[in-house]
Amino acid sequence: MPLKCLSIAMACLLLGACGSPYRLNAPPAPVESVGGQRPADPAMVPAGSGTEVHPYRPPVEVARVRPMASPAVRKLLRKAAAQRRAGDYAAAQASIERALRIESRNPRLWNRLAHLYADQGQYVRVESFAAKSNALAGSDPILRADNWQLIATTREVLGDRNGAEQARRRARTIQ
Amino acid sequence: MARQSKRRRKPATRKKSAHRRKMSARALRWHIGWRWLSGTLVLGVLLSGGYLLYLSQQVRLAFEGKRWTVPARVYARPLELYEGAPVSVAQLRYELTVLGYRKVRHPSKGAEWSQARGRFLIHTRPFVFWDGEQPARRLMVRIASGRVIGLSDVVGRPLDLVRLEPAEIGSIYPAHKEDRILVRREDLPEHLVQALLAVEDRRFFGHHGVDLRGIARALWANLRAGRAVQGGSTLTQQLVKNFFLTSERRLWRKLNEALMALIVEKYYSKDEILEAYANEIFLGQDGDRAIHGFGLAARFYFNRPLTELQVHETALLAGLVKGASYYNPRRHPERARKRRNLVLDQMHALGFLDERALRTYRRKPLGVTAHGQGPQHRYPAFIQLVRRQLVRDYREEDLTSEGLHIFTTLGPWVQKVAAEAVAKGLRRIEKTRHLSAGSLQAAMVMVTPDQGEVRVLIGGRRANYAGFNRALDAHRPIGSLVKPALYLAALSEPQRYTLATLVGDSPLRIELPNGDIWTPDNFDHQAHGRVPLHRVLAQSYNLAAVHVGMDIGVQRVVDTLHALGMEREVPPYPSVLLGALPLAPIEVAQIYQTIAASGFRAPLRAIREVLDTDGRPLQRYPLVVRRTVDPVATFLVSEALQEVVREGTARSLRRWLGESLVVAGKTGTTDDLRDSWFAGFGADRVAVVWVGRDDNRPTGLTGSRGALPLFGRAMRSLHLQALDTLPPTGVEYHWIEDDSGMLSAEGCKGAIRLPFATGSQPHLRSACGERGGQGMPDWLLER
Repeated sequence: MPLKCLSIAMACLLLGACGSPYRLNAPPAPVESVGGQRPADPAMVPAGSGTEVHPYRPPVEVARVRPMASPAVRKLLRKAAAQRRAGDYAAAQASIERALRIESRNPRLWNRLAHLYADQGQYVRVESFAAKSNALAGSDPILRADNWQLIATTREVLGDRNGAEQARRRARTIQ
Repeated sequence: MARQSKRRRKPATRKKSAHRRKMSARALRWHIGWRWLSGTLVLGVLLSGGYLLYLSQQVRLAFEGKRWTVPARVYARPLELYEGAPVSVAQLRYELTVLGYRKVRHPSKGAEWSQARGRFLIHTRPFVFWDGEQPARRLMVRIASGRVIGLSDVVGRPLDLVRLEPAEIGSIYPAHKEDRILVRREDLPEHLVQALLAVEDRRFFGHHGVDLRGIARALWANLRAGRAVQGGSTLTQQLVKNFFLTSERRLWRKLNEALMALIVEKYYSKDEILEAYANEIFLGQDGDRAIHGFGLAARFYFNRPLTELQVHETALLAGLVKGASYYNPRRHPERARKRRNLVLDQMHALGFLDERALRTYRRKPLGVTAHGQGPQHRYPAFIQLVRRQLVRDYREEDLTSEGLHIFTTLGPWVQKVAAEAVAKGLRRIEKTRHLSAGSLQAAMVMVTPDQGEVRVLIGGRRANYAGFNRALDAHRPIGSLVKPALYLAALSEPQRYTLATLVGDSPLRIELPNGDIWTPDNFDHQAHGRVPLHRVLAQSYNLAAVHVGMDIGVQRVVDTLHALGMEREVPPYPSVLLGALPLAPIEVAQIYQTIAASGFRAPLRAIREVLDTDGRPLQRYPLVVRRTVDPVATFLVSEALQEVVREGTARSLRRWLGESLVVAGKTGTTDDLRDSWFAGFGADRVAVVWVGRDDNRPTGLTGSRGALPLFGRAMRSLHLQALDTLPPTGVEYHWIEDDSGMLSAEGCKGAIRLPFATGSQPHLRSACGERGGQGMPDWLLER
């Protein structure tokens, strides 16, 4: 009996993690040492503008690890995942919003909201949430790539081919 | 003969006929009388039958149709408890008090708590939230240094997350001002029913609506006393009276009342009647709001649900039936106490209470909350905002009658702290600036930066006074609060403007479309020459602002204001550049929310969810964000706004918040010192404060002397969190020689480190910058 319970619990956890490309308990993103070189972000360089290309040096403030979500927020993420599986998107959104009141700068939560809107076909809202997630994501390449991928899909659906291609390129360059 | 006979016959005939006539007239009269009588009788029977039918129709309609209008109830945000939650001991105590939880030594049932220093034991009530019911729980909460450091159940198993039920903060009652909270028969405590029987209607469960014995007893009692000391009305009659009739004291009305009472008893059970009575009866007046029913009365007098009241408390409520204003326990506590004890005595006389219980309850204090302490009185300004947001989506009659549950974003503790800061702050300013006491007014709006949830709304210096709501309705010129929008517009063109760009702060004359000449001036009436843009903002120089604004175009500034969330249409007059732009504090709060959230506008919301009367989800007001302004430019403006506090016009904020706290802010002052503004934000709160006079006369206060101290006082108590905004992609930092605007290096004289949109930094290097400065880390020399 306990084994059965355990296996069900495991299955639930795995399912919960399926909705997104990163796991709830993913290890913290690698952090560069202060002053370490980082490749320039090609998307930021206007093509053929003749401007001098400067390597981007992250200021000291950027190089830090975003703490893992707290147990409270993880609980809400699990709850939202279950609600989403049950097709109750409004409830899932409400749970994520509740988590955001606890950790309003947690980029994963904004990413989850973007996904939930995409799931419901409310594409006009997706990009803002994904962009908000990116703005807070610091150096979390997996999350950033997922956000850009999401933005690419959204733009595609909304008929913005060029925009979609740009976003896809950004998703690729991060990965 | 014939004639004679005729003649002869005539008198006889006359006599006869007279007789006959007399007879027939009598008969006729009799006949008519009889017919009239019987007709009347029939008509009477018909009419009274019809009338009875009409009455019973009325009764049934009233009972089965919509019986009560139940106003929408409005709730604050629920307090979330989890490890690390920023909750102080004082806050938790306050939130529990607002919830009407009882502080006891050993909590044993719902809505009780105990405290030993930082350790709380709390038994919560069950509550229906948007996402389902949360059962009652028994919690142990440990708090240290303003944070929750432990959350578990009573046997010590850790809990991840629990929310307390939200406090009720008001209701939206209709034009006829009837407010009530509906209770069901099974929610009526037995001791309340007993108390009612004891003093109002002993034979309630025995009579058919009218109690002849009761009337006789009352008559006898009244005769003996020589005045009306007892009423013979049954609960059913009282209900009918409350339900249908006016309070005129006439026989006809008494008769009607008795008839209707009989009809009610014929159609409905005693329990149904009791339930109706408990919801209908008038139990008090609160300003223009009429308190109906025991459900609301329990809230109104004790700030608790009816089910949680003790015997002496329900006895007090039952005592109010006789005369809610005469026995008003707040105004006439002694009278109310006597009346309550009389009710208790009667309960004892009928065997509902034993001798010991009677003695115990008679000794208890009244226990009513102080006047004005009820939720209705605490947050009138916020409730007004909620109402305005609701009427966009709901019809007035649905709000006032359908018993909706409205879940809002108000933070009761934050609101209380902010309201105290405003009241104290104004008193202090009036004293130190020698202004007459009470002459100043203020408004404050506080929101969460990332979600735009309105936590605090203060409409005047007496926050619990439902008067003019300055936070929503006082439109005053915003002065220099407009400047962040101006510089945001400028910095959105990084090839033209950076924080290091030197701007001329020199006199200028601008011809307006109507031919007038506008000559703006600095606050100190000085021109400051060429000043770097970041300092222009920090020192709030007007001349430089107008130069920049005219250069990029007033329309661009207005467009930026719109992008930041201003909805009002504004003609692009040059004077807008210095804030000749009347806005309400809440509109300004929207603008600063967008800046604080790195350019992601979240429309300000006061409501999260609406449930119907049975707790089913009806509508959600979801979080919406939209990136509306350039993130890089917004970041640069935020950095400059930090400088305003560090070394600009808002320096004095450091007196309140400490030397090292990273916070952004902007002061605003209007012509002749009429309006004093301050807007600022840390990581967790954005707030806008206005100070001025209702008659719009000068106050003698700048933004930093009027509104700033109120902001500082509130944020100090609330432990505003330091800003830790990540620079967005496309920002890089450079050392700049401030006076020349040239690239410099760390360690060089006058060098400061500024953020730039990638590639927009100056290319000319200062002499020291050429040498590479002194003592620099290697990586800065690579270039």
